[in-house]
Amino acid sequence: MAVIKSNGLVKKLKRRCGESGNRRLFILFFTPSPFRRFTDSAIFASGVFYFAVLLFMILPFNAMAEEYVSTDINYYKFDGLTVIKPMITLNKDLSLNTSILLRATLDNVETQTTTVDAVSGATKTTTTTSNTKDEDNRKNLTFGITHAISLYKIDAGYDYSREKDYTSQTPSIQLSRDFFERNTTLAIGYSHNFDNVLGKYMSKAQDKDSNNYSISLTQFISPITVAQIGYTYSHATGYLGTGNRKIALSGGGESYEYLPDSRKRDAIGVRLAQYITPINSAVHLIYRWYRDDWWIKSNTYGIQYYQYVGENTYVRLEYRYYAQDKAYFYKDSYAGSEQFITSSNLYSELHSHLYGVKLVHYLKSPNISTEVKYERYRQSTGLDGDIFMFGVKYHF
Amino acid sequence: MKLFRLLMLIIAAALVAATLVGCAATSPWQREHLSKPVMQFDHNREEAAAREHMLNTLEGSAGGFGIGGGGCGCN
Repeated sequence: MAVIKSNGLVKKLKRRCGESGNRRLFILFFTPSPFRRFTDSAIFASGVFYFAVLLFMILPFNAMAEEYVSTDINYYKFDGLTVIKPMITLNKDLSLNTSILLRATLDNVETQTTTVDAVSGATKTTTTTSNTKDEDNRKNLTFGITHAISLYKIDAGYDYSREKDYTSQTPSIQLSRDFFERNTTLAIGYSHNFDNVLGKYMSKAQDKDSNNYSISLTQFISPITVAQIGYTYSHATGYLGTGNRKIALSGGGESYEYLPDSRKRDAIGVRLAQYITPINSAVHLIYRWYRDDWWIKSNTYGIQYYQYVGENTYVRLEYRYYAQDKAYFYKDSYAGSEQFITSSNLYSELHSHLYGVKLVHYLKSPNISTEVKYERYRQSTGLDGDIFMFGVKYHF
Repeated sequence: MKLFRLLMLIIAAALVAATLVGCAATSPWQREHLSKPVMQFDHNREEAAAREHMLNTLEGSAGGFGIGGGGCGCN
């Protein structure tokens, strides 16, 4: 590619590159030349490259807060879906009041692709008319910077995610302030999703935009009790489907998926953590209430029990229950004359159980912690899955 | 589950009330237990991010405790 010397050339390049012009410009400006020819992986490769450069640049700084490099690998095995998800994260102080977060994530997703989905009213099971294996890699880069000024803290972040049929960019900002001798923290946040969807049944890419607002209050209630309440509001507009589904119609034939082009979502979360001094353990209670203007309402209940089994080791046992109503347009079968049509279980009535166990061990020298986790997920739609996680964190 | 929901509503009300009266419940030297990893919400941010992303692809709800990142046509 030619070297860009003027805005005119930028416009020319954009015209030549068409809809993907912005991405190519990004690669040209920010990608080291050895990576440029691998355009599909260029952005992710350049992110990892700069991550490594930055790591070497900033390691000599003195640590003033929790600073670490961590690597985690998650493995999900669901019916027809396998995901391998490695992550690498750096959290580092740049000064006494400023720290940065860098994270690179790769999702290797292998799916059994269904050409036509149909939800049978009698059996509530998904019928598949053809099966093919499909593989995709989602590359995700996250950058965050935190700056503290007296009782105030400001977090700014940017998240970039790309897979073959979906691109997402999310700038975010959060402001928090401590009150009452730092017993209370109030935080407000805003983020915007600039998403672009190009599913296999779509002739051209379409945009999806979301404005997301949040407010939370965290309060120390006693020396062994802390609670938090949070509220989030999100309004998404544009193309809200995946472009990857076809639905079998009751009278024969098939239809593409059609969803409303606007969705407003409210959620309130409450959490409580209680330390139990005599037995060195802690209990977390979690509740979330949710509703949206597609008429989905849900309740989520969670309990986590932490038990120290040594000075530097603890076990976490967990149970989570989730239940939701169906969206107003979701039906077991469609004639084809409906305005909105979907076969996705995301919009159906369902409930799920999640059971989990995690073991965390800290080494003092070197300052390393290791985690291993297993979870079992079961959904009333018949979806079952196992989740494994292994992580190592090195604290500076 | 109704009992659980009632309990959490009481906790939420107590939390708001404690904040409104400006309660200074704990001094800094009393926060030994509060600073432990087992007492922190989402102590492992990477685990929390991975879980949120996974659940968003499986269930129709999201949010409640902050604004998430981007990625994938989950919802």
